This record gives sequence, structure tokens and C-alpha cells, in this order.
Amino acid sequence: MSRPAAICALTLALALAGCATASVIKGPPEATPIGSVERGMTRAEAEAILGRPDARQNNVSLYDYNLGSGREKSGLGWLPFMVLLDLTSAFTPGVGYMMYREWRDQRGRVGLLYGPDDRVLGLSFIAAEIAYRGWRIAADPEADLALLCEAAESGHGAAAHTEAGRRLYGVYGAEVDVEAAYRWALMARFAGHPDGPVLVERIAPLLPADLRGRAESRFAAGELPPCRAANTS
Amino acid sequence: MRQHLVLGLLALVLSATAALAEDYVEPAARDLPAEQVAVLRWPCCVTVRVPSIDDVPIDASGSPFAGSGRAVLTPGPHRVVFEATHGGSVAHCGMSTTRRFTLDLDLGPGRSYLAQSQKRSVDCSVYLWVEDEASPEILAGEPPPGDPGRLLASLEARSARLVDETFAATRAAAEAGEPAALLRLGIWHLLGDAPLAAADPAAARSWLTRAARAGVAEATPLLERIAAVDSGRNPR
Repeated sequence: MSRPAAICALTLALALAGCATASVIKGPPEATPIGSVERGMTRAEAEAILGRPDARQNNVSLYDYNLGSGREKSGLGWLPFMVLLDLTSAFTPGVGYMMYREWRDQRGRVGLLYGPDDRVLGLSFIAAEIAYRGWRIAADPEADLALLCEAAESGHGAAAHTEAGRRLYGVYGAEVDVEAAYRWALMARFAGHPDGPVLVERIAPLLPADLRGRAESRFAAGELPPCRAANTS
Repeated sequence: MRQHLVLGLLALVLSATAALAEDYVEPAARDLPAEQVAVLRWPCCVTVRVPSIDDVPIDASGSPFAGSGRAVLTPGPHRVVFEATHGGSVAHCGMSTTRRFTLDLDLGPGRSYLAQSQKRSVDCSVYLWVEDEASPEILAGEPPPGDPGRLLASLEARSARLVDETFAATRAAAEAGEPAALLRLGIWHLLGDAPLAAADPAAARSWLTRAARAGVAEATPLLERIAAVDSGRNPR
């Protein structure tokens, strides 16, 4: 192949690749309807909205979603622009970076927390983390139990571990309830808390076998004990 | 193109004058050692300017501190006014976008903070935040959205610091024999909350025994429940 022909072929290849690349980078202009993800949804229902998770750790699944640029960039009218943009970005790293920045700016990320029945317990891992950490630094932990309960009921492992201990020993205004403590300890273990298995082993012998079996069945069905309602003070 | 050249030259001139400017040192911080003062830095002056700190003019005309990009302050609360200016996305956002921020900073001793700013070209929003240079903690302000990892890292750093401080203060008070602190530290060990890695009923028993001796009424029934669990009985 002669040199001019090779240059023409390369330019054409870059231009065609440009249409595809720029279209992918721009993404769909409409936002993912993140607001329609609700607690109690099954994993399949949540993923029909958010798509497949990008990462998964214990009971937390991370999803990338589109915030929506609100600007339509599809159709044949945009073809010359896309070609030009891609050709420019091929030779000018700054343009490529600008395209990346624009793409990144319209992407969001959310971590959903799932229960043992694979239903959505918490709509944001970060929100649960904020609530739990907020409780830990509260001047009066008993007065701010709503923060702990918000995190625990969202499926946060450390909060579930604390709630198990609170119900086992009856501290910070809770009534002693070993069966509830056992289910919260199972939740802590399910959410990957490192001390969860130890706590489960500590509580299990305190329950008769039939009660223990029933607690395990209720937990597997996603039935967590109420946290806020357990407060006596 | 010519405007970009002018901006570039302006940046060079400002960088040169910054080398000549004097750092603002708060009068009360002048005689304090480095570990007892806080340092605030900002990328002066093309992107971020500080018109005033506690009403003292800094990056203002006639101020000897204009262009230094650094202030030495006493620890504690300070009101700092920032001004952030960004170019780029000319067709969408105009030649430049400027926004003013007034942040109340609670500075820690021996710490150094950096003010940073970014523009989001999608909607031309300007963000400014102040972060601790030794950790990912965001002290004040707001970084651009879309990076929850950064917010989580900041939250982790801040809560870890606050939890460590609360735990250390509780422990110090408990060691001094303060009854409420003895009870709280006992429960802390019992529940195994951070900075502890796991529940430690033995340590809890020790602190709660001291709390009971100090006259804390809740400690005695709690000790009985711990004993019940330890011996495999329902604590109810």
C-alpha cells in the first residue's frame, strides 16, 4: 500500500472509530431513574433500573449510573462533530481528557445494601456509614440511637453488630432479647463484620434449638427485628 | 487564543509576585511553636483567592499578604472568604466562572490545610473545599459530585479522628475515675465499637466493676447480664 493510501486508511479508521468512541463516551443523555429504586425491591428489580453491579463486597453492590447531561448528542447531524472530535482527540491528549472529564461528570455511583433474601435494605452504603459513624461520635449515644438504627436497618455490618450486642446485654435503652440479638448477629456476619461469626457463636448456645432454628428461618426470609421499637427510653 | 495567552502571562506574573508576598501570620500565632499553629494554603491567585481571613484583607489590593497563598493561624474557628475562578468551556460557560465562598473553618493545632477548587463543565458549577494535607479529610466546603470514594475517604478520616479523640478522652476520664466515663468505656468494650476491633467482655467487666464501685447504678445489672452470657444462660 502506498503512503498516501495508508494515511487515508488510517484517517478513515480513526474517523469511524471516532463515531463509536464519542457516542459511547457521551452516553445516553437521559438520567438513570435512580429515584425509583426503593427499599424492599428484589435484586432483579433494582438491576433492571441500574444495570449490573460494577463491584460487589459482602452485601454491598456498587452501581455506576448516568446523571444525564440533558444534551442530546446523537443523530446524523452530530456525525461530522464526532469524527472531528475523535480525530482531534487522537492527536491532542487535552481534548481526550476533556471528553473524559465530561463523561465522568455525568456519572454517579451508588452502593446498595442487600438483605439475606436479596432484597434492597439500604439505598446508600455511604449514607449508612455516615449514620453509623455519626452515632459513634455522639456525645450521648442513647439520645442518638436513631442514627444507629438507620444504619442497622439499612444492612450496615458494624451497626448490626452493635445492635446485636445492645439487644444481648440490654444497653442504651434496649430490652434484653436474645432472639433479636441472634438475628442481628446473623446480619452482622452476613454483612461481613469480622467479629460477626464470634458473636453468632456467643449467642447461639443461649437459645433453645427450636428458637434458634426459627430465628435463622426468619433471618433467611429477610425479617430483621425492629431497632427503633426496641428502645424503652 | 490571545485571551488564553494573556491569562497565561497573568499566571506567570502572579506566580512571580507571589514569591515576593508576605505570609499572613495572625498576631496571636506569632510566638507559638509550629505544632501549636495551623497553616492554611491555597493555589493563589489564578484559581483561588482569599479576599479575607477573619475580616483581615489578604488577597486584596494594597495588602502586603496578596499573592502569598499561605496563612499561619491559631487553632480554632476562623471565617475565611474564598473566591474561585475557572476558565474553559468558553462556549458553554463564558470566558470565566467565578464564585465566592465563605467558610467557617475549625483548624487543628499542628495541621496544614489546602484549599482546592474545581469546575464542573456540565453545568458550569464551581466547587471549593479545604482538605487536611496529611489525610483525605475534607474540613469544609464541597468537592464536585460524582466521586463518592473521595467523600467516603474524608468521612472515614474525620470519623476515625473524632472517634479516636472521643475514645481517648473517655479513657482518660475513666482512668481518672469519672463514673459516667467508666460506664461508657465498659459499654464501648462490650459492644466492640471502633476504634476497638471486636467486643471484649473481659475488659468490659473490668471497667464496669470500677463503675459499680464508683456508684453507677446501671453497672451492676449489666455485670450480672455479662456473667449470665459468659456462663451460657439467657441474660433476661
